[in-house]
Amino acid sequence: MLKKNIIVFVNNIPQDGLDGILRLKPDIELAVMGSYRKKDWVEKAKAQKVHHIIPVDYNKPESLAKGLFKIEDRILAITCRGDKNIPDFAKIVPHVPYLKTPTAESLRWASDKIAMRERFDAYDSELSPRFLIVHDASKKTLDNIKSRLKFPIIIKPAHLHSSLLVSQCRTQKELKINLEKIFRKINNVYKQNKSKQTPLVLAEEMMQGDKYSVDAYVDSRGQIYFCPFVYNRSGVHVGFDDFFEYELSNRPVLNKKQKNEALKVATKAVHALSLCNTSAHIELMQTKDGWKVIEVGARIGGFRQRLYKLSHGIEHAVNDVCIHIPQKLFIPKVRKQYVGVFNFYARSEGKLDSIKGIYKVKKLKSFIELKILKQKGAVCRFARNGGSHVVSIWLVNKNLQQWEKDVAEMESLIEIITK
Amino acid sequence: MTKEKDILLFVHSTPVTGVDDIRKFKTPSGKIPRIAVIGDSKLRKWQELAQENGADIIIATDLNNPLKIAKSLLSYQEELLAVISRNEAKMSEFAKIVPHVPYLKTPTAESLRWASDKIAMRERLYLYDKKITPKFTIVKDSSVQSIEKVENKLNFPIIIKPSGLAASRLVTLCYHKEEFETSLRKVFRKINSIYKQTKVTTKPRVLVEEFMEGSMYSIDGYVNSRGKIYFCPMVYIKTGKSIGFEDFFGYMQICPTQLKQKSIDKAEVVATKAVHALGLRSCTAHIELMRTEDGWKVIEVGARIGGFRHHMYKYSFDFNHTLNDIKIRIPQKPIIKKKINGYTVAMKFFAKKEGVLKSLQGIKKIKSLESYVEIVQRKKIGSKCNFAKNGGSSVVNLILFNKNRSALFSDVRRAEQSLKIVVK
Repeated sequence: MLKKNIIVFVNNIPQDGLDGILRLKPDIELAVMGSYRKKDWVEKAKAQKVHHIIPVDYNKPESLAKGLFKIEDRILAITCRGDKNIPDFAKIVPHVPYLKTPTAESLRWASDKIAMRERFDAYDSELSPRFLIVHDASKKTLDNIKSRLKFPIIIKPAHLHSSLLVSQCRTQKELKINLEKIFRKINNVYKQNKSKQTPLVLAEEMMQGDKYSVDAYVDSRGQIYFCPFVYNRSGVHVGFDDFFEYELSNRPVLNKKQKNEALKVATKAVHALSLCNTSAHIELMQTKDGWKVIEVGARIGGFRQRLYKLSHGIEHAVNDVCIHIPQKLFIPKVRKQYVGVFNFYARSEGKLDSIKGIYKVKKLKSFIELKILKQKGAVCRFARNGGSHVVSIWLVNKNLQQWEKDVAEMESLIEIITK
Repeated sequence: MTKEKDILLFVHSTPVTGVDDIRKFKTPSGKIPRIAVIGDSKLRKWQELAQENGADIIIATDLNNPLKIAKSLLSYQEELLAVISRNEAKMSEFAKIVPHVPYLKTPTAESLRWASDKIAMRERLYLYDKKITPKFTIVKDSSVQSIEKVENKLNFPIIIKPSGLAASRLVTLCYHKEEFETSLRKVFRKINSIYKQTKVTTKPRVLVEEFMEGSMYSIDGYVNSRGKIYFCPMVYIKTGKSIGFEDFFGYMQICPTQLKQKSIDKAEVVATKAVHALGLRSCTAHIELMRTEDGWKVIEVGARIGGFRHHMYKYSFDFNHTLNDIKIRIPQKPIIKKKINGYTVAMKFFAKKEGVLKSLQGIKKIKSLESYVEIVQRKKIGSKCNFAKNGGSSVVNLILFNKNRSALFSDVRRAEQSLKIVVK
């Protein structure tokens, strides 16, 4: 019998947590599948010294089957990191029936905001806010939204990741302007993001409250093993008209009862999407009407590998592979230190001129890393317009008071100037 | 508090054979399972039948609406122990239900589609190992180009098999060009109306493959979630063609076979490849094989237990095929006995000519045979008798068992001589 020692990744092998994955067994081999039409992933895989590079045509099942037949007896697990890669993962799943994977359908439901809302609604109508599917910005559509949903309303494209084209509307006038804008831009943005689905827009009642997320591992029987909660402060909380994730941290905000209530809702959300044999990233809102689900992804959340490693010593990427093997998970519950990653956008869109406060931030006691992601002269856009953050900063400290003091200081120091 | 898992969910119908055995079955916690049947809410017959058969729960839903399926299963989700589909014609319904029961052991929806579409099946088998399947091509019409394509690619005799039809519907053997042209035209003429009758919504496509000369066998196996297969004993099949019909229905099925262990081992290797090529898991697979001069070849694979197998294995080997089919889905290890208790034959009798059934003689005589086990008259006087290739089903099914092989075959001959199916 052949030894099962190959771990297959879809399109991309993230570097974070890879060391831990390679230590899972002494002779682990890595494989990556990707579209034969693209070259960038092949270059990256070669640089990573990946053992098996499998170019396939995702639109041809026979190409996927052929690509996998050669190594299928040796595959230990297959996993997928990153929202963008989930639709390709769904196409691979039918060809690896003897591995622990989510169903292709559940992956589709988890990567389509509308299908996701419909599943939540069918499972428990209290899980998520009321919503409507919108096809245009006509008067009829606006009237329909007005009669069925309460303002403020949030509108978002069904198949795009991050906060792309997501906007909030407090009045009918704002709704009209934003809908017209979204329908003007949506085709191009879908094209840029290489989304092959038909552009659709979701309008839903905006939830007011604090945002949290929790990552989890779901086994083949639907048993869920939760990681600690992550507190999410969005751009709106710090004065932006944008929903990007400004702060991801393990601030101790929730008590045990609140956590248990949130976990019940998160469990329902995972089961509503029929997720199994996967990591899940569940975004929740604590509203005055109780916990509501914002979104669920069939993957580990962004920044979570490092965040969980620093805060609790959890090897998130390793656990993600383990749930697919399946193998015992290691989820320490004790917080080692306070950790936060902060993403800074420019206050106004334009070309990057300078970033102030970097030197002083680096001197803070909790500082561990600062990454500048744009060069001088690069265009800075808001997340809702397809932009990405300019600076990300990691602050870590065992002492909560010191950490909070450093966070406040960092916020007052960093200034991104555009012109 | 978690609920006890005690519901066995059947797709569309409970098994005709073995309902009593299911009632005797105990759940892992020692409880008698409840039987639920799920099917299309627009159809009534299955609901009445399920009620007659004593189903505890009937779930009538719109199988074309995934959200309605999800909603209708929601209240039972925590209590479901296994989901089972026994009917080849209902595999597409099973495939629609599978995504909504992710925490049960099931085949993938795609593998069920591959296993119920003759063309997809051939393509997967060819891709996995082209040596286990005969040469084939696909035609979408009966045009001159299509006929030429077949003639250039394949050697006669060839066999025409429409996709999406169960049993041997419209399966036609052609020995030469003229016969092929006529048969292909006839198949495409009839295929649309049969698709309509059987509610097949896909576009007609026809598989044409080289006819394999050899002896036909079948083997059932229980496939676990990791692709490990627990094989049952093999069954020898005599088709209608071998007794003079222009038809491929399984006329006589015999177990155990006279095959040597070495041959069985080789057959199991090919059967394993076939199951893996289709990605089947957590189900029973029924694999039809041909023993040819070039080794074992795959005729077809079904994601279900084979016809008559419950009885054949019960009498010849004293193990319960129906329960094993459930066990592999729970999952529990199936129990397969290899000790031979005797020989079982299952026979399907069709009318020699198509027409309306006028009379049926000899049943009483058959019932008095030493080997007699069961006879089922499937058509009433006055009903239409068609050949299998024209969408017909058998008039009489007979099961015989005897500890002595030669005594059994004597009774087979007596039964053949006694039974007279008269049509007008």
